[in-house]
Amino acid sequence: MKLVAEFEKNLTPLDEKTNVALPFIVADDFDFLRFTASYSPKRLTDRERAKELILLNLTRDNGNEKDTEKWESFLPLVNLVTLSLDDEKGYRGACHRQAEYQELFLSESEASPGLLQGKITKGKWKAVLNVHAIVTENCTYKLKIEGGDKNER
Amino acid sequence: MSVELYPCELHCHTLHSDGDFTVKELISEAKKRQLKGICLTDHNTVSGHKEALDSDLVILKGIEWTTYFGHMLCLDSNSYVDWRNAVPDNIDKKTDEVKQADGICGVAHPFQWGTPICTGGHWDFKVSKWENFSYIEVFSEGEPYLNDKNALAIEFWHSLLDKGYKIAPTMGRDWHRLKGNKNISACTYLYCEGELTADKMKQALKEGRTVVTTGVKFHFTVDGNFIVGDSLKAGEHTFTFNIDTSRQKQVDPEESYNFKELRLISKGGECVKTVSANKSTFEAELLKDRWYSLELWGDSGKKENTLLALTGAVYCK
Repeated sequence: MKLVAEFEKNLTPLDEKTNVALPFIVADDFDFLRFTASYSPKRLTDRERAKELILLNLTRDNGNEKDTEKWESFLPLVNLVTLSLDDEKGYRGACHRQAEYQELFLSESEASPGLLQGKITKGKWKAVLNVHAIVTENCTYKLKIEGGDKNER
Repeated sequence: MSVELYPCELHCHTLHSDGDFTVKELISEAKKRQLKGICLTDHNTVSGHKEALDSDLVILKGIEWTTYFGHMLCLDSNSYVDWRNAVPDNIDKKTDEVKQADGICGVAHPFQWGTPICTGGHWDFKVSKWENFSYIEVFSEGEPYLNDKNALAIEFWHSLLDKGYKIAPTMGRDWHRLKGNKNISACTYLYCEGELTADKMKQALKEGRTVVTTGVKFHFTVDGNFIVGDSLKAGEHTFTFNIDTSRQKQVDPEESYNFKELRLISKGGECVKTVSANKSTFEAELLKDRWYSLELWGDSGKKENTLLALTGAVYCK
């Protein structure tokens, strides 16, 4: 397998509710792409900070006293960053799930759940980090993209 | 051709996003609940659709736009519309795009907690073009009964009807897994002529022909002819209603009901008439430029004096 691209991105609460594009070029004739995606930390372990964020959330979304009394039921607060993908022609799907570590596979005939199978075309691709929530001060996202031919599966 | 009501689940997830079901397992579980149709609405992907092709359960293909500012259900678009650039101020343009792709839009769980408790779950989009929406979930979040959030959703739905928008109420289980399911026979009934198909499910939602229920099959006709979603002339009309527990008793035998009354609801959510659930017909004076929805109230095994079912509206010209 050949390394296509590798990224390490630091995310902060300022990145929340944004899409962070990670463009890469597929220059070879690959039968498949493999993505190894992870982010850390997942959980907010600071209980007081979690309480603060939860109460802000409840107040903003019309929560009442009954809701704020049970703030602990909303623990743990977690970071959520999902991955979506585009080739030159368009969308190749998204992997929207809580897992902070995902190994994903994409080829003409197969795709990990969430991704859309199809030819691995040469040209400009884009992995997009969909930053749904960052509750910790920092969150590091790592993405490795490798390409291979069918003999290397 | 006669009109039938078909029990459906309009909001489902599989492991193509964050559900626990495979597509096959979802279909199997839906059949166990005697559902006749489902909508496959994984978060931000349609990758499960190819597995739904050979299903003998009717499946209307869709996607849940899980954005940062609200979750929107988009059904049966013929091309991809990008969810990622949807923000509160451009939602009208985005729903125009879905409409141009022949899709229909529904609001998912509008009063769910937002970020970070449930990312993007609260509806924060600034919608002007409500005519681009076919439906809104009024029972949702896996709690298909009357609670604070669902009460807010019903109130919001009423306010849209007051403004003249013909928008259907639905129940969306937001079905991810079996664990924690409440009111397992709860569903949305869709009115369709003849056999159910995916196109007819879509049409029922577009025409507002829905009934939301915690479990029982409940519906009405007006003057033996008009059904939910229809327009009729102002004046005196005869409502005939029916309560059928046969599916509910098979799917959820532990549940029991004591049906107490029907409430005819109109502008502002006002109850304009109350009728005993023991009757089967009643007369009502319907006023011009008003909408009317029927609610069924009573006791369930879990809660007394609660809303058990509500219908979409009929509209008075």
